[in-house]
Order: sequence, then C-alpha cells, then structure tokens
Amino acid sequence: MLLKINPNRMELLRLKKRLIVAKRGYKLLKDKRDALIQVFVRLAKENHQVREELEEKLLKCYTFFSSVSSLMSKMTLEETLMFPKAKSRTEVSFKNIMSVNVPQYKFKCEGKYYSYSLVDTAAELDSALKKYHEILPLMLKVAELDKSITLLANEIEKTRRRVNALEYVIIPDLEETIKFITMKLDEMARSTNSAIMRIKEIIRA
Amino acid sequence: MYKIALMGDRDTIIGFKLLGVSLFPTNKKEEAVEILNKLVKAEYAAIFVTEEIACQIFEEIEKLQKTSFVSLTIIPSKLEKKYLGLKILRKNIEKAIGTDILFRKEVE
Repeated sequence: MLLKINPNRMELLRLKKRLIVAKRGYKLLKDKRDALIQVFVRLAKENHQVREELEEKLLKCYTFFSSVSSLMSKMTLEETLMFPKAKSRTEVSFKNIMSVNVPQYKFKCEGKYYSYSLVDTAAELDSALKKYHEILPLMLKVAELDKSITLLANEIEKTRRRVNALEYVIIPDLEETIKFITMKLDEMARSTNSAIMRIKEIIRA
Repeated sequence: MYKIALMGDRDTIIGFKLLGVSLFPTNKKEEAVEILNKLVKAEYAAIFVTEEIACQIFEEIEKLQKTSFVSLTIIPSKLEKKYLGLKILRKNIEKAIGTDILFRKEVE
C-alpha cells in the first residue's frame, strides 16, 4: 500500500532514511526473537522435568504427613502446629534475558522448625517436616521457572508481532513508496525536458 | 526478603505450617480471589495454589502471573492429580512457538 505523502525529493530522502532504520530494526528484532526462543525452549524443558519431580515428591510428602496425622490425635497435632518458630523467606534477584527481567528466588529458612514437645508427638513428624523443608527450594525453583516462562512467552509473542509487522507491512510499504516517488520524479524530469526541447524548436523556427 | 504463601484446602497445606510459610486455607472461589488480590499487594514473592482452587480461579491466576511481581505456581493437591501446571506450561509454549513441539503426547 502506498503511503500518503507528496512525491518530492524531501520525502524521498526521508523515506530512504526510514527504510534503512526499519531494515536494521528488523534484523535486530529477528535476532532477538531467535535468541529468546532458544532460551525459552531450554527453560520449558527444564520446567517440565523439575515440575514432574516436584509433583512426585509432593505427593509422597502428603501421604507421609497423612500417616503422621493418623498416628497422633487431632488435638495434639493442632497444638503442635499452632506456633511455628521458623520463618521461611525468599530473596529475589533479577536476571536479564534479552531485556526480559526474570526473577531468581533463593530460599532462606530462619530458626528451627522443631518447635514442639518431643513427648507428645510421633517420631514420624520429624521426618515429615524434614521432607517438607527439603521440598521448599524445589517449589521455589518451579515458581521461578513458571514465572520466567510466562514472561518470556509474552515477550516472544510481542517481538514476533513486531518482526512480522516490519517484514510484511512497513518495509514493503516503504519500498513501494520510494519506487513510486522515484518514478514520479523521473517522469516529471522527462516531461520538463521534452517541454524545453519543444520550446527550443518553436523559438528556432 | 519476601514471604512465601500457600493457598488451598486445609488438609493439603497444613504440613507446611511449622516451616513458617503463610497459609491461607480456603475452598471458596470468591474468598480465594479476594485473598489472592490481597496477597499480590503485600510483600509476597511466591504464592503456591493447590490445583482444586486453581481450577476455579484460573483466569485470575493467569492475569496476575502476567501483570504482577509475584510468581503464582500451581501445586498438586492431596486428592487427585489434574496436571494443571503442565497445561499452563503447554499453553505458554504454544503461545511462544506456535505449536507444542516439546511434549505433545505426554499429557492426555
């Protein structure tokens, strides 16, 4: 589609500059898209693997904890779980992948989680808690990967749309308009040329 | 330092209590959405939601995952496995690459 502009030399120069910029941007964005997809595929595979591991381990934890709760009376279990001493926190830092800020979580557990009387509780509770404690970093890893993948997927979608717009709309439009203006200018030059030749003939005759 | 939260049915998440993670037991959809919106504004970095509840508030989760700082992750609940987490992963892959080239067969 032709752009709506006046066919003159000013516009021609302007459009030529724009075409150069558009082509450079197109190349850059295409490279960005390819790099993003590369990272994305790697992360997606990792996420798949880690998630399966997590789900398996979590289900084991659940069954383990169920057996613990069956060993203890409901009241004691409630009492035991009432006041946690430990504090689980996470440190967040950001990693820049192709201008996408991806979070990185680091698990920190302050204080001891054995904050109950050893007399009233079943021994299995200790190991159940240990299992839960071990699984938390893995959960954070999955959280990190999930978030990264969502962010990357959005960025890839955006970049792809830009690349396509440049490739199929903006660059062809610019090229067509430049061609149109050149033709028009040439045509004008020819027409003035022939007019001058004609006038010259008339004067000479 | 940011906090970690778990949301879902009480039986599933109770085991995490002694580790000092914030627990939000809930079964109802409206309540879950309310809690979620509150948590997003507070200083939480990661929120884990069990599958049962996540199914009901799926759209909210997707929206917040895209727009907010927190990371929302779906974990399986005690009762059954629904593979919701993997479904989200596949959806993202389809969005990014156009087709699910990585693991087409494994789920369903």
